[in-house]
Amino acid sequence: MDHRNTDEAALVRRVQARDEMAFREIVEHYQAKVFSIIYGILRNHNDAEDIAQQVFAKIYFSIKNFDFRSSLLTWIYKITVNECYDYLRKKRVRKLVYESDFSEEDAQRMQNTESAIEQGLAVDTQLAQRDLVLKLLAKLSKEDRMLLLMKEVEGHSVEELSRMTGTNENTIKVKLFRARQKLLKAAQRLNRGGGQSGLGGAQSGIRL
Amino acid sequence: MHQPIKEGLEEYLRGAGKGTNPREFDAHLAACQSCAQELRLLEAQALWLRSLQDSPADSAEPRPGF
Repeated sequence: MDHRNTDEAALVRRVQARDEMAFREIVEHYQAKVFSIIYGILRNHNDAEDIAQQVFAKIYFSIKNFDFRSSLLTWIYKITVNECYDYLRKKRVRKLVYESDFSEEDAQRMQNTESAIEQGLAVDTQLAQRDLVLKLLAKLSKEDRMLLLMKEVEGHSVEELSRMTGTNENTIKVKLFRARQKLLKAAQRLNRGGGQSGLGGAQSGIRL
Repeated sequence: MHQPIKEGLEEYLRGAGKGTNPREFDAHLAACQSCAQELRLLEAQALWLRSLQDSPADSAEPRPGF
């Protein structure tokens, strides 16, 4: 799909020419979406509002570099997810906890993830498991993470992702497949680090 | 993972393929234990990725005046 000749592209060009009203339109159009993506990752209203402000500031200052190779939504989505991960990384650094460190407790939680979702376990258990999923996603490249989130969390089809990113469907499938495998490997490393869980080992009967 | 499963993977994980997978996909899955195992892991993985969609508490709306 050509992203250069759409109403959205015309709006972007106005923002690139520093039309404040056009930027306001973008904010109004995308703020709920941006907030919902951030809230989906951080689960905290105050943080989500702060990050959303940062995201729109970044959009404002970076939109001159928007090159119409993807849809505006894809570009905004990428900025939003990256901003969330920068925030999580800084927060972790402040706590002197590094992304590469998975505790045994993490491994135990991972072991129970699927059953927790299926059985609707306590909210705090699910939140802890969400944190773990986010931690594993942090192991992927920005592009891999974005594709998986857009596919599984946002629910976009391969066809939609292809249109949004300007990449053909087969390439999207290959990229998704590789991203899924990398995520599996990250979980398996966690398993090995976590000792007894045997996570990811089909013979152990433990499902990711 | 082998080609017939790779090709049908996204449709399968989306649920669109349940009961209507391409014949090659089902035939390979029945014959290849390693693909079946990996597929099971990837299905579980998709499930926990989708757990990020759920909103266990609070709402995802910005406050008025945001």
